[in-house]
Amino acid sequence: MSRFAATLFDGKSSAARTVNVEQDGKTLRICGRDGDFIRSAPLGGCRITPPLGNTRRTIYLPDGARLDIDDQDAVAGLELYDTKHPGMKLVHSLESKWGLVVFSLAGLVFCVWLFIAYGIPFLADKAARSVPAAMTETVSDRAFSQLDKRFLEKTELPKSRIAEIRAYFEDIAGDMKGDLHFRLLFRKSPQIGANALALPSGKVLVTDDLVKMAESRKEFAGIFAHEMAHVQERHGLRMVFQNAGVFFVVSALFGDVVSATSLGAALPTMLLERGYSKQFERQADLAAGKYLIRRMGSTKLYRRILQRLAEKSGGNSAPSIISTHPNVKNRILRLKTLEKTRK
Amino acid sequence: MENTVSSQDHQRPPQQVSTTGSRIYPFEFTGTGSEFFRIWIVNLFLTIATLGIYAAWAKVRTRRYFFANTFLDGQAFDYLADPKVILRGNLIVAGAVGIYLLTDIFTTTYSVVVILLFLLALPFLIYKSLRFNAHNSAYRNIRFRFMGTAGESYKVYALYALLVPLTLGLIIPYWVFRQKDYFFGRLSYGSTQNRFYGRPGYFYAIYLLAGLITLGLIIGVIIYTATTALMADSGSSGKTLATAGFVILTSMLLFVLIIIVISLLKQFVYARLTNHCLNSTNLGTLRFEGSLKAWELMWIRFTNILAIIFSAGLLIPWARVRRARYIIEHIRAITPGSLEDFAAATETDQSAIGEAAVDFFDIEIGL
Repeated sequence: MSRFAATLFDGKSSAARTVNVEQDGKTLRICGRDGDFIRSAPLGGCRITPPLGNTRRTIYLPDGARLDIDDQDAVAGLELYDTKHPGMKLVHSLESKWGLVVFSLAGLVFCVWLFIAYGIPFLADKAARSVPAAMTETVSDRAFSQLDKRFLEKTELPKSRIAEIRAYFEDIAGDMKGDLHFRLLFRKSPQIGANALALPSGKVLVTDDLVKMAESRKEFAGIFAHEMAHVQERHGLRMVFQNAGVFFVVSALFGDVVSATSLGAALPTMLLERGYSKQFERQADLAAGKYLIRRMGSTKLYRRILQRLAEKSGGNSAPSIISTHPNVKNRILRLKTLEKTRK
Repeated sequence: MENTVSSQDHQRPPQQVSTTGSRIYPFEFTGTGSEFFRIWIVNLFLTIATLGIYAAWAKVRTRRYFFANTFLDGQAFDYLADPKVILRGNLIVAGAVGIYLLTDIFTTTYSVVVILLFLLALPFLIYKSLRFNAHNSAYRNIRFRFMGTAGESYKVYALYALLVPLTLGLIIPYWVFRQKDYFFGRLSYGSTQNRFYGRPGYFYAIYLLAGLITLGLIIGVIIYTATTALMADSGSSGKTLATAGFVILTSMLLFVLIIIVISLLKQFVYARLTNHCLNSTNLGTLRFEGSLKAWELMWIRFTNILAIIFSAGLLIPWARVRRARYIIEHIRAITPGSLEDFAAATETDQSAIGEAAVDFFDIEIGL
């Protein structure tokens, strides 16, 4: 048996009535301020809204009338009879204690880290593997034709040089495992400069500037192996799916999609995507390094052309955190260490 | 016993009486940053940990927190939506977005079709969202209702949207006016419907002012870029790297400045239009009064952004409570009668698909 004060709303008009409520574990007895009986209701038919912060508690009577109660303890007593919302009561106790709030914050950080480090890459890998080859072809062709339109021009290299490099490319492609069909394309591009890139379908593109920069045919071995590793590991498609995953996590954190495309979310999104990109570059370098050691016993020629590329592009002055590729110095260092550990 | 009874009344604000004998009821907000911070963190944690399923519950808890801490005449508002209904809406929207992303990756033509379908459905989704939220908002155990029709929504959100490019944007203020009219004029508390007396002329005046400021800004930027380009041209030998660095740095600062100014302009437009809409709305004998100050809202926005950046997002809940408190506490209701005489009306439950979609894209409707 307990008594508490409440405000009664009958649900038919907006009139508020201050009342006293008595409960004996079975029924609620509602009386006016001066003690006159108004109504009663079976406790079993009542619905108590789950607790939320320090807000007023509410009891809905079976006919839709409502009691608002300031006295949190009185309602806590009543809740003993109410087995609904067990989950929300748990949530409320999480929200009520600062220790558990700190735990939630740590849990949040941990879950986000788990998604970024393992969840998204894992799912993206699965998704990329389930893409049929025909579709990979279409996506690659589409991406390539857009590149072609915007940045690429016809190659100006002599036919003999093209044939020579292509033969070397086929030679290296023959060493690669799997039934992938690698093709080499040549384009001139003042915009993207000395560069090479691979499309998921197995097309590898080198620019005229890159070809001119190479001092010997063998310097291409590392570059080709690097690009072929991107294709073999399906880095292109995985990147697309991973970026979609980043987009979803950032939307969840910021609350909606528009905020996720806003300036505030742009920085974390960019950093995450760059981080993933660098991971793929490291993996491709590792694969290329291993291949080179097997084929020619050293990564020296690959390191040399990387160094030359970096010098030409102005010393790669962008800080490592914002560029898509790892710092060239670090790349070269990693290749050196790989070589040492292999010997 | 008398003690506990009177404690029930302690939040009742002092009633003021205006010169015409009407009672003035200020809106009050009792939420706090630290309390909402805890709710917010737990919401985020459970949303991420349940792969987004908890988002529906998180949304209801957040809304309920803000509603239940908003008081008028000593009584709180309430948000009654069932999280399971919102979950269903969220799942449908997530499915649609998934389909869009897949089509976007693999085919261009189909993704255009998906976007067209979405645009075609958008006015209906907005209409459903307004109905859902009104139906699930209550005060003194009387639900609100939204009386607008889907046809009107198509007129407001499709027809006028199509007229925007045709009129070179000149129709935008009128378009916004019609959106506000659709919201404020069709909202109903129980069986009493709002009346909206807003004037399109006022919308034009506010947008003209904001437009002139933006134009001045654009001209300033053009002059700036022209002069720096000249500077970069003249300082060619040896100093180019330093000049380039200077140009990049100042352009970045300029970019940030423009973002801030546009964000502040939005606050100005929001303050003026919200005041105007509130002052032009009657609910039976009840009228409203908004006294939002553009400068104060700008200051709140500016300092909120700084606080959020320097706390790595941890002050987001504090910022939201602070802004909500400012807006809610600058609204008053005035009536010669009382708040006790409104009657309920019956209406069936609503699906949450529109609400989920509109919320997903953060489309601004209503207040």
